[in-house]
Amino acid sequence: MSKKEGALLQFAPMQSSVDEGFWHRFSSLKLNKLGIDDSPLPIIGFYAPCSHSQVSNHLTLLAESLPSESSDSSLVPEPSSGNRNKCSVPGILYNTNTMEGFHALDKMKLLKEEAAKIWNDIVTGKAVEDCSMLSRFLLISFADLKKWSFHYWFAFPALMLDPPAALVNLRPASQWLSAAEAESLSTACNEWRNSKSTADVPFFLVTIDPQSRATIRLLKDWDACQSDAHKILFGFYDPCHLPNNPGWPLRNFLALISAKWNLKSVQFLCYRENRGFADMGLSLVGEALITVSEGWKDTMPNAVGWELNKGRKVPRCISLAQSMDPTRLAVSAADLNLKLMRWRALPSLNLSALSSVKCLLLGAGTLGCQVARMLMAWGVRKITLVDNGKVAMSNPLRQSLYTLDDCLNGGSFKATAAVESLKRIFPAVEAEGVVMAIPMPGHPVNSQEQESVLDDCRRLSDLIDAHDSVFLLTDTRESRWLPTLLCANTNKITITAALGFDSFLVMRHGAGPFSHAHGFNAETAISSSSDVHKIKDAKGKHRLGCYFCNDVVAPTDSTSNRTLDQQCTVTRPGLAPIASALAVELLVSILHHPEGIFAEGDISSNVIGTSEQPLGILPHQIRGSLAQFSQMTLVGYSSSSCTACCDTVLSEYRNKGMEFILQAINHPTYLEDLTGLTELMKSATAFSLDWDKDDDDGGGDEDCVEI
Amino acid sequence: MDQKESVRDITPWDGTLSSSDFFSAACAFSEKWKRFNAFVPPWLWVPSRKHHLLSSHKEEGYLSLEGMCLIKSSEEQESCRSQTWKEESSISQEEEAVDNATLVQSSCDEVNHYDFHIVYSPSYRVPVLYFRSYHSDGQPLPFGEIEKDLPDHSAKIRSESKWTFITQEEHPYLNRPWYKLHPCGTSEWMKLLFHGDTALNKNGFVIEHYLVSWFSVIGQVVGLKIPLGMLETLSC
Repeated sequence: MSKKEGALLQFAPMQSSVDEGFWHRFSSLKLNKLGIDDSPLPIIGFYAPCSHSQVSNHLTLLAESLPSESSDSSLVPEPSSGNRNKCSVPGILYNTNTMEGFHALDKMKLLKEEAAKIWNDIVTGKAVEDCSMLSRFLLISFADLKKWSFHYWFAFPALMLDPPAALVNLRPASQWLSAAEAESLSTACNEWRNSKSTADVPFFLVTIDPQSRATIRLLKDWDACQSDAHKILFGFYDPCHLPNNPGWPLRNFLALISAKWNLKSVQFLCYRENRGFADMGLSLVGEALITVSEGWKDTMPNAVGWELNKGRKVPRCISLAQSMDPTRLAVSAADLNLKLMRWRALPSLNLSALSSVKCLLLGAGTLGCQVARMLMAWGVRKITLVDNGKVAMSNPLRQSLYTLDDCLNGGSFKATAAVESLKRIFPAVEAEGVVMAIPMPGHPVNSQEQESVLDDCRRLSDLIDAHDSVFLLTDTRESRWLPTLLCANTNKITITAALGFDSFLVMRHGAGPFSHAHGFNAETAISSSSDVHKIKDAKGKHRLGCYFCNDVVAPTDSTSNRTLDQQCTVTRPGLAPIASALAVELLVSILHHPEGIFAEGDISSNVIGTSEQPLGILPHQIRGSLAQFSQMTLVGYSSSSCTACCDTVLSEYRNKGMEFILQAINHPTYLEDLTGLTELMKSATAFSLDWDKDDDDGGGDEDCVEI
Repeated sequence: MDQKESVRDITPWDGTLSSSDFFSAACAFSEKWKRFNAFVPPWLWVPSRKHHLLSSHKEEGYLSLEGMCLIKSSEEQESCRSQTWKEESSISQEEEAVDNATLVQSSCDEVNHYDFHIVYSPSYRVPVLYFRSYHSDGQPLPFGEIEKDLPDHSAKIRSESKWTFITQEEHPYLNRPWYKLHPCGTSEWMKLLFHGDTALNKNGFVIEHYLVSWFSVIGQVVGLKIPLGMLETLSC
């Protein structure tokens, strides 16, 4: 199809394409070498003839468009040569350090400067020697390396003919050439494209002799082409695919032809390919009429060329946070791990429950550090650590979140150091540290401290309210009392881990006495005796016990007693990781059990696969011994005299609030009296049982380990 | 070499191949592809080296098929892909010269470009297909967009078979996230494809046809067709 004579020759604009790799390399260059230096940077663009009938080729920037980062190299990219798919053209990059700077760049001035370079190359003949200079381009950008987004704008300077060139005709090459000529030209083009020395030369001359033989030559051989009988075509690699328009590179080519060789009528060849071979059907041959005035080439012509963004003269923006932000990459890698577990082994894994559960860890010592790490490994993101201690020199060995640096200058607060450590491991964790002591019964406070202790109680209560699951990981028994009470009151999932010298206990507390299941009518409970009513939860089942349910003494100052919660420095090091791991696995099992905190306590059996749940059984208590390398699961029910979770105690707390707490803290026997433990003990003595009384001196019975 | 062959004879094949075998398989595959597939770009071998590893053999690299275009009609495009710019950074009409010689195109079809790499995994000892997609201006496509491009049966294959799922991981040579078809099940179904026939181990038959067989399965997940002619070379 041919165009009518006299119509304006309209060029398809050059389109840009920036490979992700370019931005990656540029970011790296900026961070490691350039810094705030914003002087213009020479870069290399690549294009090739169109190779698809429906898709234009673009001017592409790749990683190798930029100079390498090595310190000894100059800031000039290494040119590639001989690659038929990558014709190199020179470009320049102006990258600003701020968004304001980007907007403030004088775009017309920059365009003029680059156009002037092209014009200069034309006038001096340099463009004839190295024709890729005709497609010189300009890029302005602002790289936001905090958000990993890149604002950029290309300009492909084109010198304007005044008046503009007219199109005489334009048609597929196969229609303009004879069959023999087309074949000869195809062959010649394929040779040109396959030879390393010419494959990336984007402008060339075609001569066709009367015998239909086509020859391709470099521009500098213009004089040799001057023979009357020959047809001459000005050929160029055309990235554009459109059937009715030539591509952008022709603009500066025409400017060169007019300025250098003074031609008025120009026959041109838009060279295009299909699947790597010359295609004379896609390629176009046209005739342009140049009618510039005599003095046109004496002054620098005007130039246009800023790339439009969807029809508008505005810059473009690309966001690469997904593939460049290290935190995001860490998050997606972690998610992948969990998803693989779900796909390959455990389809019922509830990843969203894990990522949304809010865990409160009371204690940031040997147990706390390990529990926090295990939680993160399971995809738990919301972790709060409470500890009032500082990191001591002996801690880093056993407390896996701390290093020597945390011990210096008197030691950082554990809660703070732990959170920083967690963030270093996995930046996307939402971790918080609270430096606070947990009020304990049996450690009386004087009147000056009273208010601050009550504050701590309230703060603890608020913390527990704000979380879904609480881990009791402190190093004394009495420090577990208040949290146990508060958790029983609000029915939070509570997991206790306690260490002896070579034994451990990991258990989940049962539901609180006032917990009510949805829609259950407490009136219809089977129980008739009031005692039974106290130890059943709203589902009518026996509540599982808490950490204190087996006690017959109230929690008091235990530091002299050989109990489980001894200072952790005297436990075998292997215990804490084992117990911590079990504690977290227990939580995950609870979260996957349909009855959650109300689930009955399972006991492990030798029959494999008896559990209906995909994660296996859900025990109540796990007690292990390193001395025996053994472990067993137990079930214990709640006691109606429990000093922490029985309904007497909780009712008293609900009625009297902080006053009750204060009483318990200051008067050691208050809890025992309240729950009737005092009575129980008196009656027990009457049966001559050998009770291990609290006020006996420490050490106690070798055989009777109180856990 | 003799001992290796006799060992191969008696032990059942486990579905994997060595790194040097991968290179031979890749050459055979790309040569056959070119022969039977005139209408699609060829698979090219890209020599690469992981800097920190000292490989014993010279031929380390991967197969690359780049620039596959999927043309989307304009209705399928997201309406707000480009950021809305205030007129802070534009060029006013007065500044730039009036230019009638630039063609103004009313609407442009969006094109999704796909690059595919076949990379050897030393830990699984099988080939892995990596791929990525981007718009014409270079902006990478998120996985949600890629899924729309995948053929319908791909979702079916991926949900039914626990061997085949797509994950995003760092490309071993380019150090950027690419999507890949996870290789954990590959050796299993490659064994099935060759019926665990140890006789096939002789004369390098397995190596020569490994990638063709592998690709006949993998290609389906990403919509890359393997020409019938290539498959027919398998039966002999």
